[in-house]
Amino acid sequence: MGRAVGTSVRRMDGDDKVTGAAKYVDDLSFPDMLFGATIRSTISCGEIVNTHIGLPPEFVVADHRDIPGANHVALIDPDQPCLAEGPIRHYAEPVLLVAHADRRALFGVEARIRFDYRERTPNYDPERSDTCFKQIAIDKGDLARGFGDADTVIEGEYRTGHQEQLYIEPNGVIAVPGDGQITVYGSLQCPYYVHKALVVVTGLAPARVRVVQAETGGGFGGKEEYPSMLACHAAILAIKSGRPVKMIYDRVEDLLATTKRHPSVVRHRTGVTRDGRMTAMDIDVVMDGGGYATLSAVVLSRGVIHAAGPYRCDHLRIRGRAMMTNTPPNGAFRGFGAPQTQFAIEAHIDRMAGALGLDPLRLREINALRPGDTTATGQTLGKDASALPVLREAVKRSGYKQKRRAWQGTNRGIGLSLFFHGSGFTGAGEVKLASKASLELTATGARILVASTEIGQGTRTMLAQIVADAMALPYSSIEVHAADTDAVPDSGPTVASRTCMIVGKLLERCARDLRRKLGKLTPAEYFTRHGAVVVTAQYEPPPGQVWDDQRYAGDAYGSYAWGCNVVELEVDPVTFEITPTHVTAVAEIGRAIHPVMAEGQIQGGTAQGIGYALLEEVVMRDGRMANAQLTNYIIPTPMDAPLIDVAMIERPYAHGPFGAKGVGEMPIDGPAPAVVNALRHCGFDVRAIPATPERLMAGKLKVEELAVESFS
Amino acid sequence: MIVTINGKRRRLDVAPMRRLLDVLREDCGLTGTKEGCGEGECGACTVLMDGVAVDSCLVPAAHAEGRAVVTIEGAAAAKRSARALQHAFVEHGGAQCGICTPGMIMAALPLKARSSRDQIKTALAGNLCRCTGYIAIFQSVEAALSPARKGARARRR
Amino acid sequence: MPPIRDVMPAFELFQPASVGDALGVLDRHGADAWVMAGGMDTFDWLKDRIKRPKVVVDLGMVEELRGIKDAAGGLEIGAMTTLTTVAHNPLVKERFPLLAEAALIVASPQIRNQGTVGGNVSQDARCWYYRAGWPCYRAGGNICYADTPTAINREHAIFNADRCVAVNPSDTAPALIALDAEFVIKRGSAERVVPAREFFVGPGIDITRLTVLQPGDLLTAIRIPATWAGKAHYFEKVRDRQVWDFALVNIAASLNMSGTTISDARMVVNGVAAEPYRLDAVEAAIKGKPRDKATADLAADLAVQGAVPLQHNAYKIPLVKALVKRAIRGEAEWATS
Repeated sequence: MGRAVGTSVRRMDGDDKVTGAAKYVDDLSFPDMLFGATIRSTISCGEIVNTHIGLPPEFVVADHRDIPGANHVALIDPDQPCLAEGPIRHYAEPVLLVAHADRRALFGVEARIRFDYRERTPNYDPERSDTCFKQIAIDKGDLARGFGDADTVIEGEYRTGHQEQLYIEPNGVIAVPGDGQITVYGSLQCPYYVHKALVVVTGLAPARVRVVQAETGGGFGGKEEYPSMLACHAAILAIKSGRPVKMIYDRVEDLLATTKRHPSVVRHRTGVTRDGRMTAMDIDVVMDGGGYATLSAVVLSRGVIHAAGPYRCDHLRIRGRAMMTNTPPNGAFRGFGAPQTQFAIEAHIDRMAGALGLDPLRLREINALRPGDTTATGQTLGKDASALPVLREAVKRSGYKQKRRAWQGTNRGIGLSLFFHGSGFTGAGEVKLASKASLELTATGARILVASTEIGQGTRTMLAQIVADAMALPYSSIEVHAADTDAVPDSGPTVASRTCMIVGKLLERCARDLRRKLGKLTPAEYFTRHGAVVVTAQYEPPPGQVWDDQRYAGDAYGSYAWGCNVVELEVDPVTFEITPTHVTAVAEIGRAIHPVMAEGQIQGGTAQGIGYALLEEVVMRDGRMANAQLTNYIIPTPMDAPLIDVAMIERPYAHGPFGAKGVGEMPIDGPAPAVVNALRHCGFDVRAIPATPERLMAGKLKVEELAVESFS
Repeated sequence: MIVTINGKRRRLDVAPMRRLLDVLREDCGLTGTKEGCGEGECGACTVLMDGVAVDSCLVPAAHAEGRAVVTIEGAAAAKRSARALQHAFVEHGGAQCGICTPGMIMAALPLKARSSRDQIKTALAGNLCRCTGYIAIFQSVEAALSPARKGARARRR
Repeated sequence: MPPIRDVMPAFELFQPASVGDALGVLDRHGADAWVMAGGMDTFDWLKDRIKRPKVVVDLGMVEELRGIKDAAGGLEIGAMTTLTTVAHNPLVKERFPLLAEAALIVASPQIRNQGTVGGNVSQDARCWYYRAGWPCYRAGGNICYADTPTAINREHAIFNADRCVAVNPSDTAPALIALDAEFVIKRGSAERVVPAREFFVGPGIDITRLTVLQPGDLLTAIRIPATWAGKAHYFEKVRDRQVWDFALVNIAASLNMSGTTISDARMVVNGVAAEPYRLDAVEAAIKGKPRDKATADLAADLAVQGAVPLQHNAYKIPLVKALVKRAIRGEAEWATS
């Protein structure tokens, strides 16, 4: 039938959001509710030897001794305490919790609590760290032979800094205690991550713990792991006081204490023939994990897998390390390691082209992955491998070739980036997750039961479209249950561009199953005769998908989305102001289930990428964010956002719902390198972002360098 | 103090230096006005005071004395264009996560029919969105304010 | 780090209805009192609890401090007049478009609707180390965090730094200096009128404040004489984003032309020193010269004499030069640069 998929139906949560009726966590209230606050370390490294608390008894105070279960935030490694017991690894580490019935009474409370510290020398440099959270090695072919085949070897070092997700709604939760149970409402992406963490910290049986997602004002990865910490804090206070506890961060606390994108240093050594064929790639990736492991291992994993970019090369070596530093832990952010490594390879490609006297576009065409080619991990790509189609479409739409020539030697620049992004968890991740999705028959249609959350990207609407078409029912007859762990199965976290491709596919299977059950009956008829019925589907890998976690080889992802950005900008040659004027964003995403929302993902991700490239800089001082205010950590505004021309190409993936792959993360992989490459076109050598005026000034190429650069 | 909120005169007993934002959310139950930064740098808390957009996180309650305050909950009753704006934000992708949306709509409310893209940008300049990249927001406002496009269906391909 | 930042600390609040009442309160409480105009700067300071005054004097109810009126061909602007009003007032636009342009480019629309011209010229430094409560010179300590090897100081001073490297962030301040404005300050029953330039102070004079305002003082009005009404002008603000951000550098210039030569000029840049930086040497050198390339080049070189960049703000030197050239040549400079 296919009436909903591919059309921009009215989004399900739209009306409540535009009228102010939608309830975000800070809009909820419970009787007898207390307000909680976190007292944090003010040093970066050392231990707390004494605590002095001068608070009257109406304050509820909790520390690690009040934790009924185990004192760690369950995620990958159990290294991060929920409340510090003594050792301190970073500034703003949670130590004590305080609650009071009057929010205003918490004002100034930190001044009445004092810690005596034994300080140690902190380390803020990941390359000098002696603690490695994760190392990954990828080897393909014979590196020595690859370099032997090369005419020249080109090296480069590329750096990226922290980036804050900057969802406009800061983190917040409410914990409501009950009779031997606890319910947490929160602004969050992954209800079952929070559930798992609460079970560990509270010591309660899983059935006694319930997590309900409130309407969530943006996440971008920033509400993937941190809500587990915050939920545990609220739960500890709620259990101790026996009353509901609300904890909402203000913007400064959110900026100072919660996760950011990992800073990175990526070094490339590439063997290349005179005619532009890459014969050997030697890549070293270092990521700054911050004080605790959190998700660094998997961020690094996605980073190294994407480090060679969408290019074929038979002989390569990739080494990655995620290192501990005495700064607040870094974590998930849209792109998850891939923006850092693809920034490096894409900036490197343009430098190589300059050195070879080739057009950077030509260099990409020569080396781009094609169907049947193998990736760095040896994955053989299917027919939907779309590096060349996106590249050609972007070049055509943007007038790249003509502008590249016409603007040569002027203060206008045009630059290009080619990138890809694996959809779903890496390697065997989806098999281990074994996600489940359910569909419940209702009298009027069906109700979707998944833990996948709506955080703005359109989960509810998009999943309902898939179910509607797979059941041949109208979109309006499909409902979506709240992401409530008491009511929905664990469909996995809402991350990794997996919700559409993986969870959507599970629901498509459920829907076809339910449709078979209905036979010729309408939902109402079936419901009247047989009552409610629920069907469930569990993830199974597509046939032939194999991953070897020891060798880091095989099919890293079920499929990849492909993208090409062309950025046009102007540089004031005197003042070094950069104005991005136009971005062409071409994306191959299998199938756009909801074109307006898919386009919204691409435009939004692209704008975040422009911010990453030009504006966003976390300034650290003694391990603490010094510019932790929106006045000083600056993101693009309505006045700065360039026009973004989006084109979506659809090359269906056989194992995605209606051919769909992931779209959410990929758009942020491309803008930063395209900006830097456009700056190179203007005569500026920038290898670190953000490309601020002072970096630009320092990177102004000399005339003799320009001669080489301008060969193209 | 006496304040007219969404057309109703209300007597409020509040401390004069409390933020208007908190008075609206906590004392009046009007939670549609959101807090994003608390320092006037995001515009999520935008309301109209005597028809002018202000950041309610930076307005002491005392400064609202005798004024007419309109929040997202009262937008439709206060101005004809509100419903068209609300409809268009859903239709054209102007609302994603929705946390900036009430503030965006309030900032757009004083705009006249057929405002240009530049006028729209200027009116919305004090409001941050992290989801959309703004383009869909501009398109939503244009669709709402331009009669030719009024009721236009979402683009279909 | 304070866990709750959206609550005001305890202080005694006064909301006088007249200037007389306000002065009375200020007189009684001296250094304990904090004057609040639109609240844009005040709210941050109080909520962050970096400043903890015992008394806050809210000028919001003092109607006589609002409004713009003719004063012998010039204007008198009440200190509590909002920036939006200043930017759109027909008299301001007609006589002193330089000020209207400067006011129109401050912060965001909402902030211009709330913030006042008096507040804009009196606001404190935006150095993030200082604002975040680091115990720096300006906060009474003995170090400048922005002037250390690991600091990011791209927004900081290139002129006249003295221990502290913070800059004056105001957009209207350089415009008012370039218009020879005078600031009316009352204190008790006394009134003094201070030339705009002398209203601002650098760290060498007082490292803890950016203006001459002392406890007990109240800025009530800004007077702009007719001198520069209708004369040529130039204003430009360079910032990272085209809304909200404080100037990396801004420039305000008034030019009196006699025929094709400059007979008199005022030129002020801000965002480069702790006080708006008036380019005296440039003003003197361009007198009697045409608005051409040679004059612009001469002025640009003079403008940056004595500049000492920090680690991350050397770009401000060519930036100042470029703005000076544009101020002198106007559109022509844009066309050829």
